Amino acid sequence: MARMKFLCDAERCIECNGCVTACKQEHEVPWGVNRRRVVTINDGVPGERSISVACMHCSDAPCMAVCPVDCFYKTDEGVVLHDKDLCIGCGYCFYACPFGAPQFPQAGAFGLRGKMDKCTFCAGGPEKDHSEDEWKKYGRNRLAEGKLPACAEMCSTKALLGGDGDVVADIYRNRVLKRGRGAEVWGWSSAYGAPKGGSQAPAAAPAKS
Amino acid sequence: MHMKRAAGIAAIAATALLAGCGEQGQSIGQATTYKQGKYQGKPDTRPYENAPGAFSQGAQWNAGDKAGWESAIKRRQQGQNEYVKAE
Repeated sequence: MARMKFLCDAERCIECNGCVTACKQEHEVPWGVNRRRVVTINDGVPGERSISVACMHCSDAPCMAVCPVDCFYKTDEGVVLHDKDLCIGCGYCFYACPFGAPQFPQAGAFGLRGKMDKCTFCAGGPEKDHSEDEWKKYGRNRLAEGKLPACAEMCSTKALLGGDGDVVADIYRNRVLKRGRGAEVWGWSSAYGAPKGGSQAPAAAPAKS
Repeated sequence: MHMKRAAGIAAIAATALLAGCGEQGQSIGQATTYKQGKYQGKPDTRPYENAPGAFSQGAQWNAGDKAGWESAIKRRQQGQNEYVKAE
């Protein structure tokens, strides 16, 4: 089955924070915890770009690797989830995560850290689907309702796409081809460098003789 | 007077000694044996194992019908592609 992924189109994101609000509202995330954030690069400078960031549900997730109580698991759909009953709130996952996804609610006085909370790809957690326990600990389980994450579905410009990596990549590729630009902003070129002014495709590998 | 003081001291000592008894156990639990590098938490159900519920907005599949759930999700994914809608 699918490998669920998010993809944010920096050409389309208008920093409206609709995804952040949708997430907060959908799961009633407490004050001080942000499962999703919008990050703007070169803010205020012409050509600024924004992307929406949350847990990227890594294929080889560093949070899973460092957790001392092994409370993380990956679903068949490639969604990285965790068991809050097991989490000790140590914060190792926060240090390991390159996206700052793990969040820690304040659990008492003196800044005491609570159990980790993060984006669940709207897939709930290890409790009975649609149960009160699942709702309280992990938020709504939209995948079990046949829906996609609220942030992606609420995105007004459809900058944020969520779903099977292959499908999402196809939607984005089709979009880039239609509008004739965008791959240089977010994709191969941003990761590996692009020729100047270029949205050209990376050079083909030399043919083997 | 001595009796009262002794009783007071005994009460304080008993309170101090029993204070630890209210502490909750902090081990992972006897049912779980810790194994390095393996998920130690509760098992989770798959999203298609239950019927979609009251908020599915038209998505329908029977409990356990993986193909039905996948087709519901596929339909939903294409809702993000406005080029399909426009053409």
